[in-house]
Amino acid sequence: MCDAPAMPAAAPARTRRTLVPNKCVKCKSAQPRVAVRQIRYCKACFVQASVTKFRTAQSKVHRPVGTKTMVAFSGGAASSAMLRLVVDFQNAWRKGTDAEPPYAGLVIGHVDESALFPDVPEDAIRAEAAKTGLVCEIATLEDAFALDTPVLATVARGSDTGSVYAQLVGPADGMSRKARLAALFAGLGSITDKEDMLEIIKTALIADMARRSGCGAVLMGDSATRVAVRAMALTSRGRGFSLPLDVGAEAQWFGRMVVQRPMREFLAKEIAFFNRWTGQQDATVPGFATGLPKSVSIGRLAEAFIVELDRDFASTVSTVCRTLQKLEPREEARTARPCTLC
Amino acid sequence: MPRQCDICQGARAIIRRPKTGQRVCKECFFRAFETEVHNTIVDNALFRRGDRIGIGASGGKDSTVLAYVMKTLNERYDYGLELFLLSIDEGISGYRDDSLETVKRNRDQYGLPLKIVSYEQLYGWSMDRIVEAVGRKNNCTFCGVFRRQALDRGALMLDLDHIVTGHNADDVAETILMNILRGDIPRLGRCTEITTAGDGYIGRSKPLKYAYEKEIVMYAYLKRLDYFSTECTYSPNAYRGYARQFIKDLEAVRPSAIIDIIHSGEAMKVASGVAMPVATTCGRCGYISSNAICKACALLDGLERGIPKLGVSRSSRDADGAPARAGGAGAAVEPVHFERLRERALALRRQRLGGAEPEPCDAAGAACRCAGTECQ
Repeated sequence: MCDAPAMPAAAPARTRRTLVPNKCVKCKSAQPRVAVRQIRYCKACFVQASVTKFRTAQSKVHRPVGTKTMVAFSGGAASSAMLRLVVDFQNAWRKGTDAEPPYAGLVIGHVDESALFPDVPEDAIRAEAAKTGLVCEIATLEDAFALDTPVLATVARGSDTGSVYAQLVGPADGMSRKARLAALFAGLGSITDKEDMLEIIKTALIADMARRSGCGAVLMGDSATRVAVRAMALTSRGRGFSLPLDVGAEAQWFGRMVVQRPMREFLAKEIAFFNRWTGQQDATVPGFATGLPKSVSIGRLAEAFIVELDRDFASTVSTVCRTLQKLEPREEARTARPCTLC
Repeated sequence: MPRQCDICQGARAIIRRPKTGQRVCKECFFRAFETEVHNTIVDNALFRRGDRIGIGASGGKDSTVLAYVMKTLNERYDYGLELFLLSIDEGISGYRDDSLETVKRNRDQYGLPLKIVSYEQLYGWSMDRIVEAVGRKNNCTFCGVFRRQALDRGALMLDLDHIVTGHNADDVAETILMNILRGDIPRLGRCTEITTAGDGYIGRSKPLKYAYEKEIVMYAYLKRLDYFSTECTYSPNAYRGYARQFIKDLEAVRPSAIIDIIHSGEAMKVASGVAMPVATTCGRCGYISSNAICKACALLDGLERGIPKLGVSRSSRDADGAPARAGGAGAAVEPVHFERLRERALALRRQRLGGAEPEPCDAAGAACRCAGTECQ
């Protein structure tokens, strides 16, 4: 007769985590220093929990086999934290073991926005990227006029789409790219439209860099807070049909290229504490609405709305993120032909 | 220099339409507003000739405009509809009693028959008493759940085919945002539909779904309609307040944002793997429900047992831990079963079609023949 202990009839009931009053929820000995979604951590446990959360999520996602991954890096808080977490994860892989490394190869993709925002600390951002020792692809915003694939330039070649468009986006004689960029943005009336255009150009540039450097996946640094804000702003701009593509955790936007947003597991607050406690440098990257009242653009309004709401109803951001996971893009959004202009 | 109307190029423009940016004169505005509602009705095939339509009338600006426009369009385009005003008396003194006076004046002004059903009559609880038991917080849950059902009950009492409500574009946009914020996926899918099935017998629709609140107010003001404009005396819903303010701010930045949100909501698609609640009927009152007992019955049960948090709070501790007060807080009216209401509605229809007058009910209690629709 088998003398192995009998299997328990049913799985043991889940017990509540034991809490020690006024102590960290993990180690139960140190003083808590931060509360995230009403759970209180000490410094060391918080950093460890963040790293574990990131790695667990990253090891579950599917990436095209054998292709490199591009880390989109703007220099801001979220993408700096993401860069650090990704690099640490890759370095933690023990060479000589059978296990595959987390990423087949890493490339940093950075868009230099100094043509529009001269205050961007571009040198510091590039230095931060160089510290990692990875290859860093850099594109400037004005490069949007030199792309061979979708953006702007293709139409200007007098393609069959019509000469009207060609005139619309064709270069004026002798105008430098920088001047064209300035003219493009000066021509847009509202800050909402400017933000929209900037986003389109940045996305196109990152996709182009990824394609040129042979990456099959792009990691974008949108935090949970950012995702919720963007979801509200996109909904208010009538783009509900493509929400899952624009802010989903994983989306196939550009043909076979996968876009992932690993930082959507983290609130903006968590990222701020993570950077501070790990000594990660981050830069303040200004936008069109920086420093202006909330009523200047839809994006800024959505940000103020979500931040205020999340202060009073703590689970707002995570609920919005969960809601988005339950949506899927309409067929039209998947099969839509690229816009002639952008 | 005064600007001319963008449409007729003749009269002086008095309003800039938020939806189109056009500056229009009074007459062109009326015509455009009414034609848009007419197009909404025709494009979505909301009604059939001969339908008996109940207009949910609260006396506020939306329902007053809806009643006026429905009556006007019914005559102008010969829809062949029989219109009724259907009001719910929640029993909020200092608010509903005054607004019902407005509805009564509307009844006389528009010559439409009016039916008022009260919470007191249907459930044995007025909102004033519910607030006494529940407190100022969360009482909107009771009011909203009861009202939804009360409208269907009222419609069955009148044997209506369809109910129209005065929800405007701002309301729909607000609801879409609220459902995203609360993660209410089933409602997110439903809230943008112009017609909902109701309890499976009576359809419901929102003919003003694409009309901006601003235009409705302008319409009511310029037509000098008689409406009641006071906020409910019980605390406004804080969460909804945020969404409402956001919509107003958005409208200031980009007036088309409201209609954009509605289009966004209509285009959202729930992923195929997401579990959705299955509609069934309440075991107690026969109303459509996703649980064995519908929300209204669960709330009533909580009120009766003196634990009003039952059915409101998500925490089971609130319901289980709270001791039931001896005897409960009130003596309720057992809500009439929907099956009986439907039978009565069918009988009314047969009698109407057969030309005979419906038999009056004069015997409350066991001998009642009207399912509580007349004798109570």
